[in-house]
Amino acid sequence: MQEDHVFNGDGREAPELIVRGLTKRFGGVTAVDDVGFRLPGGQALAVVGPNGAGKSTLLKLLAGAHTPTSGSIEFGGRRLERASARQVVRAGIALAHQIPRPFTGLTVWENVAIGAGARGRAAEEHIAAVIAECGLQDKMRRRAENLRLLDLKRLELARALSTRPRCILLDEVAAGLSGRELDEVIALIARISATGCGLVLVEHVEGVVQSLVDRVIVMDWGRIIAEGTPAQIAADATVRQVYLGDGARPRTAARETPPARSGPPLLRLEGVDLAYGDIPALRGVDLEVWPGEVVAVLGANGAGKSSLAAAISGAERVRSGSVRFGADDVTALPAYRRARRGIAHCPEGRRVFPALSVEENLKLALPLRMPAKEVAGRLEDVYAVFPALAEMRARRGGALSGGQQQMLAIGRALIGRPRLVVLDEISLGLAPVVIDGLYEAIEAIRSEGIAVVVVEQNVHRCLAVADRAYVLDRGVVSYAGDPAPLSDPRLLERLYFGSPREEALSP
Amino acid sequence: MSAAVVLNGILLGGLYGMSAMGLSLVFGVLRLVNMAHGAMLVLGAYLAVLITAGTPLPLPVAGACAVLLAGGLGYVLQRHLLTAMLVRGANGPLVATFGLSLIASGLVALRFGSDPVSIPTALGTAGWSLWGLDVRAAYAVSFALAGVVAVALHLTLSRTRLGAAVRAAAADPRTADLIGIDVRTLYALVFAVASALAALAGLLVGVAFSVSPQSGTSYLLIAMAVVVLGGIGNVLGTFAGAILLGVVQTLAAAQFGGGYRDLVVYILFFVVLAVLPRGLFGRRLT
Amino acid sequence: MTIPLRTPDGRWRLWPGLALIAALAAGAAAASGALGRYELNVLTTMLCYLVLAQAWNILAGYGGLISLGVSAFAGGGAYCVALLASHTGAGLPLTLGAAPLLGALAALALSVPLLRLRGDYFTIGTLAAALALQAWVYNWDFAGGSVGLSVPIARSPDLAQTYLLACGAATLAVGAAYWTAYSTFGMRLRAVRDNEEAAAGLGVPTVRYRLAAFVLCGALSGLAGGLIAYQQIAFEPGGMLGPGWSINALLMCVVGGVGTVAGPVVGTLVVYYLLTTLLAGYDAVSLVVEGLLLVLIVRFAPQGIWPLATRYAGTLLVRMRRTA
Repeated sequence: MQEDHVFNGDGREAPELIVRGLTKRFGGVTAVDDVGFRLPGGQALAVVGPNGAGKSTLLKLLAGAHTPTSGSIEFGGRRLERASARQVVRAGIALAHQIPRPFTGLTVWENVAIGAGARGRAAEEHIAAVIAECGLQDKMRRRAENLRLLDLKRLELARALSTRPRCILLDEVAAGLSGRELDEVIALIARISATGCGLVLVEHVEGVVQSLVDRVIVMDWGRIIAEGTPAQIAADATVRQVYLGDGARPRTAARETPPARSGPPLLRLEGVDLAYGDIPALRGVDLEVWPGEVVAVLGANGAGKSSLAAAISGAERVRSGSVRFGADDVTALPAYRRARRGIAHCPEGRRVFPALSVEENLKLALPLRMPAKEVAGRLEDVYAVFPALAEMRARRGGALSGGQQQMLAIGRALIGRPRLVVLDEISLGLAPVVIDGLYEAIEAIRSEGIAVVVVEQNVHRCLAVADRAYVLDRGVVSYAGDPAPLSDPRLLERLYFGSPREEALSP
Repeated sequence: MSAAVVLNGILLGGLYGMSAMGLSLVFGVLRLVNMAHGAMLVLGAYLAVLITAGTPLPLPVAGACAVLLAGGLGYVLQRHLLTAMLVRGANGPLVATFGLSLIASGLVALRFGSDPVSIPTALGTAGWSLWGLDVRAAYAVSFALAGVVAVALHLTLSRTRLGAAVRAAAADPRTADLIGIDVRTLYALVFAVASALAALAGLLVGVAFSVSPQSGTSYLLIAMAVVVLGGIGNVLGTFAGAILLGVVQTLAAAQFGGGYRDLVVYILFFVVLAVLPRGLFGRRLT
Repeated sequence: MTIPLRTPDGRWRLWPGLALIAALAAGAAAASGALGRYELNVLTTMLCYLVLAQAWNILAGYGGLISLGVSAFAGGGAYCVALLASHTGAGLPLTLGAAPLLGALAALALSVPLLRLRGDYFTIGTLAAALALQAWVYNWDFAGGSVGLSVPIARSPDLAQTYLLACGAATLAVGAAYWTAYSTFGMRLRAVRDNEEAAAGLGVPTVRYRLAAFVLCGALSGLAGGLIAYQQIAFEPGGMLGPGWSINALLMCVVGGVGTVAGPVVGTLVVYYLLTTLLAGYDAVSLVVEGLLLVLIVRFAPQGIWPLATRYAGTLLVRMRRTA
């Protein structure tokens, strides 16, 4: 059987993967916490969960790229928790990465040949078969650095397959794909699965999960919080809460004084395209923000939310389209000059300077020429919003807790008295009580008349403060307008758990 | 006798510290191994010679001019040549600065020939008595000057807002850009200061010893040894590493003969690189 | 049964290229009778440079490791030949065999500290190793100290023989580079260069491949050094152990095109012509020209002139076909 030859080593049934009590700590952070599951030979398992839940770390542990702090990994009776990446590959487990990492200077053929090992006619046939199966036969001689996204994804899969794995780990291989490309990759994964090769998928695109796997485990904060069939998981209330936010507070009543949306918008994006190399992140995005309003930007992982934030602040250059701020076209301005004009970006992951003190972190965002007296006044303004920061003004940024770092990052964005603040995923990885405090700060910012763009996974929180909302779906704006209809759970479900081939949402 | 040797070694270390500070700064902030650092040092000495010969300016003024010229040259080079390469990454900047060092030593050789030149002052040959020990005046002055510069640089980096901006740009240039710091100008400024410090060190070397177009490489290596010893981007560590190197070298020369001066530097460097790649005092800047 | 000339993905297999290199070398060797003293001398020097350039190319272009320690291996080979010939009376085969062996052993020994270093640190480390060797030899009276050494003239090959030996060495070096470019070994080495972690994840023992490239580079450089010793007869540590070898090897590769087989050949021709013919006797000017070349190439044609030329020729060819 040719298929078995390509995918599944010697064609025997794949061994069982047994994981017990797997834990990984990085410094004080527990990325994977006591995870255990059994994957019978040849079955398919999906791992889902929000950003930062520990999914990718779990796959890296299984692949031997990280060594677990404790716990065991058993594959076909062999213990692999202390094995190196090389040994794990030899044992038959291969990992395909979320972001393809090809050997850029090598051709497609050579990229696949690296993992295929032995030389000779048999190896060449194996390489050719893998390349053909992944649909790369026309591009064998092309260097990997010249491939487009879909081909890079195919190559990433082909490279994993080249090692004749008996269990393959796929980290978001469908991310960034859509339409026909997505169908192709799903079909390829289905063929791999059909040959009896074990499969562990980390995936956000729900259709992939629905159509491919037998079981789903849901992770949050490094732990497994639910486990079941895809249908059970889709109906699970805990899971929904993880994805859509804690929902502790229903949408507050309409704001007392909705901002007058008269006059020209403060910020206007028109037809913005943004891409990372060949990977498109935003396609033809239009967005407007008026002074004093809070605009929510929602969407699943990888929908382009952070790219939109980067396009606004200038952290990334747009490929086409324009960004206007106030009366000026700022499309060509680098980030630091946009910051000086009043666009503050509080980036995802906080990006506090760990070696600098709290006060130094804050002062960085002020012009060097500003008189010391005014600097002191500005600091006091920030401390008034975040009193906790005042108490640790001399402490190093790296020594703060996650919530304090987030306050510092927001304070750093505010200290320059911007006209617009972009807050990117400020609730990520924080406890609900801390998030409460941060959202109170957003209210305070709005009351100063500053426009706020809130990029969030935590939908309920975000909608509670938003005047208007945009929903992104694979780089395209799929909804723009009143946030109220988005509070309808069915609409949100379609947004987060919907089929990948569904057309743009309409209110 | 031996106490005087150690003291002279300590003072010589000051000169080495001055030679290494700019390299350390550029390495720490820009992540750039500036192969042209030694050439800039040599260039500083020759510029001073050129200015004193061609104008009626006294040596200190001419030296200051040379230092300023070197700083300006550094600013232009970083701003218009190296920044673009740093963005592209890989080995480009290293090879390019290597090319710059060849150009500089070639130009110097064209103008002055390849024989060593020294800057004639009374300081170069004078000896002083410190605590009853005989030391070279040029060493003592270099040490004092290097000490002042090191402390000033350290305070600027650790206490001022400009210094905080430099540290931020070194640690995470993307985020620094995002919060309004002009990273490119800051990089060019750092490179300019580093070039000026190199030229100042060259001036002192020219007074204390002599320079030739080829001596750039050995001072580059001395500076790198000091940087690796002291920890990259760690100004005070660099100064301490330089003193250590000066003492070890002077002791070795006194023990085994002057021919072993350079060998000791290279071997020490090699051993530290292999055994303690983070240096004796650790990284500070990032 | 047909003999496959190309791999399934359409690239040439190893042996046709190796055969071509051997044929070229045979042609060059056959020409020795027709060459005068001057030409023999010039060509021998150039071929030695070619060996050094290809050795550097294997390490930097395919292994991703930039070395400024060429003199440690080349000079080591030269000193090895001179010391063996003058103290043990060993003949040509033995001394020329010992030179690459010494180069390989030196690389093996230096790999312990150096291959742990990454990127720029490796480069600085090689420079330090080379200068340490030079400083040591200056003080090593047995090896002539700062005066240097000479090979007993009676036991040295004549000009034509040296030329033939250089032809052989250059064949070996170009063949090694070609093999590195097209073999499984080279493919894995490039994979380690492009992404070490991913290569390890696919089962490639990364350290062993880097070590192999370093040792191969050391052996070839040692061989070139041995030949240079026989050609120069007398040498001193200032030149033989100085940074000049590294500068030229780097320059030839960067100008021609790092990571290609033909690039260093082209680079050697261009740079050698420039330095010995156009700028002979103008040391300072050649330094400036070398430096300018490096900066300009890195700034405007970072891949080198050979890949640029082939790409240009390719588009020209396509355009001509279209118009025809």
